[in-house]
Formats: sequence, structure tokens, C-alpha cells
Amino acid sequence: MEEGGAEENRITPRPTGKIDAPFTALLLLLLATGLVCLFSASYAVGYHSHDGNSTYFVVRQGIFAAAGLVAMYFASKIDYHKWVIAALPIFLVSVILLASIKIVPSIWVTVNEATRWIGIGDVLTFQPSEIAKFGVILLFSTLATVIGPDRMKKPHIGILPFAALLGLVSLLLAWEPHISATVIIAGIGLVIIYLAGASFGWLAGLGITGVTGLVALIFYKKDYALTRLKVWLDPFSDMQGKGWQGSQAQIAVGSGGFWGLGLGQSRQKHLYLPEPANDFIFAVMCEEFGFLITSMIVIVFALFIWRGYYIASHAGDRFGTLLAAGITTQIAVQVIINLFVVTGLFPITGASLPFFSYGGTSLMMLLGEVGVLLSVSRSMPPAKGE
Amino acid sequence: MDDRRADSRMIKRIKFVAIVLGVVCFAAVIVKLFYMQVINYDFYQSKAENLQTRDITLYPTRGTIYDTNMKPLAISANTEMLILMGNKLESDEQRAMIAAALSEILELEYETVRKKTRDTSSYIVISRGIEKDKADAVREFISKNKLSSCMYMLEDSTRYYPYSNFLAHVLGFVGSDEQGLAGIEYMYDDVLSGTVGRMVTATNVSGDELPFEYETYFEAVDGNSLVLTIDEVLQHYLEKNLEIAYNDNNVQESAIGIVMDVNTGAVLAMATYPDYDPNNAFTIVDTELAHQIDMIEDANEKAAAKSNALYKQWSNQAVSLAYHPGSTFKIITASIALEENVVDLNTTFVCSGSYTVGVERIHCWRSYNPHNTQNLALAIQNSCNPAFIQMGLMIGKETFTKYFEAFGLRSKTGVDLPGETTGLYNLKQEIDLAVYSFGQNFSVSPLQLITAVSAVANGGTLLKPYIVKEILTPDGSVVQSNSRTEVRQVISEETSAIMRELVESVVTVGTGKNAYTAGYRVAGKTGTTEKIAEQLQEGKELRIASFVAFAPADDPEIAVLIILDEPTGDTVTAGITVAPVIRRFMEEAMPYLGVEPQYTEEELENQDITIPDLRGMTLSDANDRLKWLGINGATNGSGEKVVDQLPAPGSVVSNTATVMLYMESSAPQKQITMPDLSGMSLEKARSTLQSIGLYVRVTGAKNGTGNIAVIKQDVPGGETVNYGQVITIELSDLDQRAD
Repeated sequence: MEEGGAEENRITPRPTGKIDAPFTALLLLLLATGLVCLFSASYAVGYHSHDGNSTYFVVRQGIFAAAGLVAMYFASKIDYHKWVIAALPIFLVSVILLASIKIVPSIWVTVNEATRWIGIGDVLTFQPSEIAKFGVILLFSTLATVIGPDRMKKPHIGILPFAALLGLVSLLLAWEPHISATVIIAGIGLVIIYLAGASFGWLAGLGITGVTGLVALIFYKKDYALTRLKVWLDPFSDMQGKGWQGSQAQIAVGSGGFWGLGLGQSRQKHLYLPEPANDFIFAVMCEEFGFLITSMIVIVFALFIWRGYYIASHAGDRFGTLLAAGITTQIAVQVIINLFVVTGLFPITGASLPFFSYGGTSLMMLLGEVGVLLSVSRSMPPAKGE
Repeated sequence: MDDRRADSRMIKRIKFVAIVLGVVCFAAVIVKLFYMQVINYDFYQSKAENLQTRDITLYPTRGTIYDTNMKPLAISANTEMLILMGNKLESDEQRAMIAAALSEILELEYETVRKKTRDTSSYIVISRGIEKDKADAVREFISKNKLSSCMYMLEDSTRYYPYSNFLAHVLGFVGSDEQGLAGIEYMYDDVLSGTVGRMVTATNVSGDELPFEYETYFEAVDGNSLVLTIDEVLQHYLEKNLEIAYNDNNVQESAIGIVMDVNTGAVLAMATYPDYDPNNAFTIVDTELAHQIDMIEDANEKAAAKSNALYKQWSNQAVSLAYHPGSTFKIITASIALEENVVDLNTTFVCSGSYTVGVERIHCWRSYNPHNTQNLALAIQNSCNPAFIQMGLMIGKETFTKYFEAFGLRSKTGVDLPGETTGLYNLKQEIDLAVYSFGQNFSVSPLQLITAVSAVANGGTLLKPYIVKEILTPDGSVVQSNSRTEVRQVISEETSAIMRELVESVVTVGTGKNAYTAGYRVAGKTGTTEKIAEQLQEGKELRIASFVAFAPADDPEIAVLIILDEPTGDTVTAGITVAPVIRRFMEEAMPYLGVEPQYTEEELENQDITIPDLRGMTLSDANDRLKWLGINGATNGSGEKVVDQLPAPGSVVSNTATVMLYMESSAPQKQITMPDLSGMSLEKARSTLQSIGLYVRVTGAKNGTGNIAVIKQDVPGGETVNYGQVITIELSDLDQRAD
């Protein structure tokens, strides 16, 4: 199916150009900063939980980062169109893996009351939800491209099947439970179908329905919800109890002040902050770097995201666009949820900060996905003047 | 597959998404960061500090209080204190559990500890001055219950008074935070307490200190030490004799004594009996009174009664008592009269048993046997009231008041002790002057009186009394030293010299005879006054008997004032009750002060002898030895060598005794019931003891004239003693009933 107005935009879809230099530079900057921050943030935890080995976390993360960069390099070399074939299998595999929580729960690992990891031996653990995210990106991009923008406008084609798939994944994630992954995957899916041309009105309707459902749920479990709400808005009201994580994070952020305490000088990382190397690494950064440098890091993230969407909008074809936008959205939503949680703009939920939080397999996968995005960037037409 | 590029609609949508997810959300984060890190920084900073740091108060060690010879009388020993971090406790159940456990280990009241555990601040002092065994028990409790994140121990120091009651009223005591609450401890609290330090340390969630430098440290500065003018030896003599006098005379209120260096104003000893233990200052010493207070049902009344009792117990009467000095004040009246030349040594005074001023007729203490005509010396020796009334009237009100002030009796002496009083003085009419002249109707403090009398004795200079000689830094260097401070010249050296002789004659031939100390020249004056207000209230005779003395009379070194507040023995007058106390004190103090004794011939004849060990000697050797000592010997049985002897070797006995030498067998082992000798003459007592095979040693007025009788014996009547034991008896002149 063709559209006349778009004829002159046709170019070769094969990615033969160079990878996008600004995007790569921003990525490497984030990755390097991330490792430095991780070293500082994990110092005390490493010291206490790994027999005084303060470098335990950063060394492992460094190895995975290196492996991830290799994966990224190869992924950037592979023509991204090849992922079309893998879209359905990857999605199905992730669904099967997610479903395995009920079938073979023994391979799952529970940390802090949430079962999110599948362990291969003791060393390598990974989150099936990470694979699910990539699976959704690939499958949605492929389907939306195949369906095409015109048919995407019809809700029963452009929204309903996608919503069903998202519903399936959400249901599986609810077993873990894993709210942040659900939000991220929903975000990715909705952004992809929105970009692919789904009706804004229907999407908005869907959104309103979702919010209404949420409000209904809050009324249904009023006491629980109110407690959560109170603790979110004022974590100090129950500092020793439910507000512990939130208040500790906010104390870290606030006490950093304008100039920060200096690299390595965080006090909150000394066992006050839960997961200082993981979900709350940004709190440690705020405390050590202060407002000035932390804002700069936030801006680097924003530029990185912005550049990701730039690549998406300049990709060689729609599939590339959706793929790049999907991957960028995944990173964006993940970063935003983490920053929102740490700064108290969002209730506490377990979400890591891409390129910063400790987590080897997750970092490796993320870099692999960035490799796919870089492959897309090679399909961009050369900038004017070159 | 569709290989077209993104169309404009798609690009618009990407831009929208990019703006939301790439700009708006990140801007929101930056705004929130600005709000938290810049605008609201202080809020989070204080939260962080409260959470992450441990703010520790470092207590300095309180300075030591030494006597003049550097004997420590109040010291601070190392102990520990327990700090609770109330902000780290999780639940009320946990708080209650901690309170229960700690109150048991530390032996504290549960409710007190429970109240403290309810506090949510980060620094709650549960208890201070915890000694090692209890501290170890607390540590065990902490580690067993994994409470190291919410409580910890710190170094502390606790005040100890190694000699318990010794010098209690002067030293005072400290409260639970080592703050001085009474006496020197209160007066010199700033000097002794030092400066509190502070340490702020970063800690992790377990309360362990963090491995990097984050510390603010202000060192505690230990307190300075004090060297008192108090001489531990003299103080001991004074306290011992006050206690004896208190018991001998059935004293109802207290026995008070001061010893002053007349040439410097330094307080060498100062005591009030009954005393208390500064280690347990809040325990009521009088068990009967404590019991009565316990019986009070109303809580407020009980608390009031308790605090009254405690304040009375702590009161340093030597500076806080306002009393009528009575006849001891005649020293001052006579000094004024001499200094103003209204009398001289030849002036005569007539006593008809009473004296009438206006319409008031004032009796002499010996109105039953009037003194008739006396010169100044006799008037003082007789302590004749009419003579002193005449003297006072000759001086006149204005001059009297002028000298009264000059002797420092209307103002505080300025001694460095708390609680000093000045008494009442309200001289308006002739009759007031008449009564004031013999020390009645106005009041002064014991310290004021002894300071004034010291001025009379030392050549006429009023000195400012002081009790702290030196202030030392913790390393021992002197930061301040106090010495003689002249207030003013009150009387001339000439007047002072005459007064020294006159006052000495009171002891040698006058009403103060019982203070006579063989070998030493003691000058002094008795005083017995009625506690008029209290008598009216209680409807019975209540007296204050006192004696002020200085010695040696020709070149005074010390002045001594002893007061018995409400003696209730057979005789209450000072010549009988207090004068012997002065003598007993002087007998010990004079040799200690290195004053050379000069005995009269009679005194030399009546010396005591320390019996040597004669056992194993031949009879002739033993007799030679006894002859050389000037004591008689007798033998029992026949043999070559002395087998046993009585009195036993080392006994001190009068030289009138006969030493019995047993040549064949040991001395008989017999138990004898001790007779009561009180009131007997020396001869009677001696023969009584001799007849039952006891030896005698005589102290007190053994060379005196008058109604000399036994007033004390070292073994009370009725107790059993060994055959041949030496009994020490004390003699006094029972005629000394002057006021």
C-alpha cells in the first residue's frame, strides 16, 4: 500500500552510513560517569556485604560494560531489518519466561519480596522483563510497520491487538509483581503505536479508562492507598517505617545542597539508603555532586533521549523510526521513573537508572539495544553540508 | 514491508513525545532538585545531620580539692555514662523493654528511665557515673539485643570524697551532673568544672563511625584543682573533739568549730557536727528524723520536710549561724575601751551583783556573790557583766558602733565560702549598749567573731579570712594564689599586747581555767548565752556555750572558736562544757604546730611516764632504769630476773605510780569491773583505782586549784578491765560556772 505524498522520501533502507557520533558520545559519557558513580555508591555496600571488598560491584559492572560495548558494536553492524524475523520469537520467549514463574518457580530468584530475576547458577541473573521490553519494541515496530499508518488509525486494528498484547504482558508481570516494568512496557507500547499513527482520541480514551480504573482501585483499597499516598507526599511522616526509603533518598538529595559533599563523600550510602548502588544511585549522586553537577548529568540524559528521537525521526524507514523511538522510549521512561522516584515526584517503585545502576545483564542488554539504535542511525541521510 | 521514511505526521508525533519524555520530564526533575537542594537545603541538611551524626558531649574531669599539704579530699574518678539515641528507637514496646532492662541493671527507678526513653531526641543521658561492673552489664545487654545503633557508652567522671564525712560542710558536694551544689564545690564550681567539649562524628546506620574523616572535635578542658588552707591534721583534731563534746554534753543542735591562722586569716580547720557524707549528700543522717519524714503522708509536706532537713544538714554553721556571742565578746568590748583610752589597767569597776540602766536592772552571772571592786584584769577574768556594762557606757553608742563595724562584725567577712551570714545589729538606746557590751542581743556568725578576735590577737589588724590557698592547673602549675589580705587596722599593737595578756589571764586564773593546757600559753574567753527567742518558743532553758581562744598567748599563731549549740548536760556553762574541748584540741594542735612546750616546775613534777620493757632484766638493772625515769618500783616474789611487769610495757602512766616487778611468775590475770569515777577528786579517784589494782594517768586540770574533779574516764563505769591496766582520767574545775 502506497502513499503518493511520501514518494520523494524513499531512500535505500539499508543502513550503510556511519553510526551517529553525538549519540555515541553522549552514551559513552553517561556510561563512564555511571561507572564512576557506581564505584562511589557501591563502596560502602561492597565493604559491608562482600567482606570489605569495596570494588566488588564496580569491577563486575566494568566487565559487563565492556562486554556490553562489544555487543553494541556488533549490533550496530547488523542491519536492523534482520530483527523483524526475530521479533515474534523473542516476544514469545519472553512471554514463556515470564510465565515460567508459575510453572517452574524454582529457577526464579526473589529479592526484597519481588520475584524478578531468573538465575542461571549463582553468578548470572537476568530479568525476563528486560527481554519482554525488547520483545515488545521489536514486535510492535514490526506489526505497526506492516499495518501501516492508515490502518493504524482504526482502533480495532491500531489499538485493540496491541492493547491485548500489552494486557497479556502486564498480567504476567503482575505475578512478580513488577509495577515499574509494567509502566515502562506500557509506555513503550503506547508510544510506538502512537507514533505509528494510532488514533490519539482512542489512545486518550484508553488512558482515561486506565486512570479511572486506577482511581476506582484506590477507592476499593482506600486505607492502603491513602497510606501509600501519605508516605509518598511526606515520607518523613513514617520515617522509621514505610517512609524509610523515600525519606532516606530525599535526605540524600536535599543534603547534597548546591555544591554537594564531593565525590565519595556521601554519608547516606553508608547503609542508610536502601540499594545505594542500584535503584537509589541517583540519590548518592545528588548528595555527592550537588545541584550544579547533578543537573548537568540530568541534561546529558535529556540530550541523549532527544538525540535518540532525532535518530528515530531521521531513520531510513518507518521500521527504523519505530525501532529507534521504541528503544529511546524504553530508556527515557526508565530514566524518568528512576529520577522521579528518587526526587519524590513518583511513589517508591523499584526502577533502576540505565547506565548507572548496578546490574550486569541488564546493562549488557541495554547496550545491545543501543547497538540496534546505532544501526538505525546508520540509515540516516548524511547531514546537510557533508 | 513498508520502507518509506517517517512522514510529517509521524515526525510531529515524535517531536511531541521527545518534548514530553526528553524535555518536560527532565525539566521537572531539575526543578524538583533545585527545590530540594537549594531552596529547602536547610531542612534536609538538618535531617541528615540528625540522622547521620553522633553529637557527643565530652565531659572534662573535675579538679581535685587538696588540703594545704596536698592531701586529696575530693577527687573525680573515671566512670562511664550511658547515652540513648531516642531517634533511633523503633517502637514503644522497644522503648519500654529498654527502660525495664536498664532500670534493673543500673538500679534506677523504672518510671524515671521510662520517661527518658520516651524522648525522641538523639542524645539522652540515661545515667552518669556508671561504675565498671554495671557498665559491663550494660554493654552485654546492648550486644545481646543488638542495640548498638541506638545506645552507647561514653567516658565520664564521678566525684568521690575518699574520707567521707571529713570536712563535709566545707567541701560541699556535687549533683548528678557533677555541678557543685554546696560548699567549696559550689563556690568554685567554675574553676573546678573545666570546659565541656564536643565531638561530632559521622556514623553509619549501625552507629559505627565511618571510615573517613568527618569529625568536629572540641577538646574538653579539665577543671583546675584547689589547694585549701585547711590542714587535714588540725581538721581531724577539731572534728574529733567536736564529736566528743557533742556527745558528752548531749548537744541538741550542733557543735561548731573554727581554727584560724591569726596572722594570715587562713582557715586551718572548720567543722560542724553532726556532719554528713558528701558521697551520699541526699541521705538524711539523722535516722530518727528520716523516719519521721517517711511517716508524713502528704507528699508535698513530705518533700518540704525533707528539703528542710537536708538544707539544715548541709548548712555550714561556722559561716551561716547567727548567734549571740555572749561573754566571748567581752574581748572586743575591752579592746575598744582600751583603744579609746576610756579605761586603763588601773580603772576599777564595782559589781554589786547587778547594774541598773534607766529602769532596767541587769544581773551579773554571780549575783549570789557579787564581785565587788575589780580592776580591768579581774573584770575580764571574772567575766563580770556590771563591769562591762560600765565599760560600754563609757565607750558610748557611736564609738561602740564604729568599732563594731571596724571589727567587721556588720559585714560579711568575704570568705570564699557560700552561705555567709552577718547577723543582726540594732543599737539604739543606752540599754542596748549596756546589753551589747557583754555580747547579748545582737548576733554575729562564728567566722565573724573569730576573725575579730584574731585581729585583737595579731596586733590589731582585721584580716580577710580565706580558705583556698592556691588554684592549680591540671598539670599542677599555680594560676592563682591567695595570701594574707589586710582589711584595716582596728586597734593598736599596744592595745593588742595588753589584750593578749588579759585574755591569757582568763585561762590561767579566771573563768577559763579548764582550757589551760599544760606547757602552752593559751589565752581565751568563755561565753554562755541564752537562746532567748527559742526559749520563749520551747518553754525551757536553751543555751549556746562557746569558747574563743588563741595560742601561744605571747605570740599567737592560731585562734580557735568552739560553739556548742544547746548543750543539755548537767552543767551547760562554757567554762565546764567548752573549755576542756579547747584544752584537748590545744594539747594536740600545739605540738603539731611545732610550738615548744614550756612546763612549770609543778607540771614537770607531774609528768606522765611511758613504761619501758623491763622483762628479762635483773632486778638491779630494772630498778636503775625506774629510778632514772623517776618512778617507784616494787617486787613480787624472788628470782634473778624480771618475769613480768605491771603496767605493761608501753603504757603511759602518772609518775606517782609504783611499777610492780614479778620475779617468779606472770602478773595475775584478773578481770575487774570499772568503777564510775565522775565527780571524784583526784586523790579519791587515785585511791579508788589503786585499791582494785588499776593504774591511773591524769589529764586536764591536774595542777589546778578549786573544785577539781574527774569529768571523764577512758573506760566507762561498769565495763571490765584487766588487772593492772592504766585508766586515763580527765580533771576539770567544776567551779567554772561563769556565763
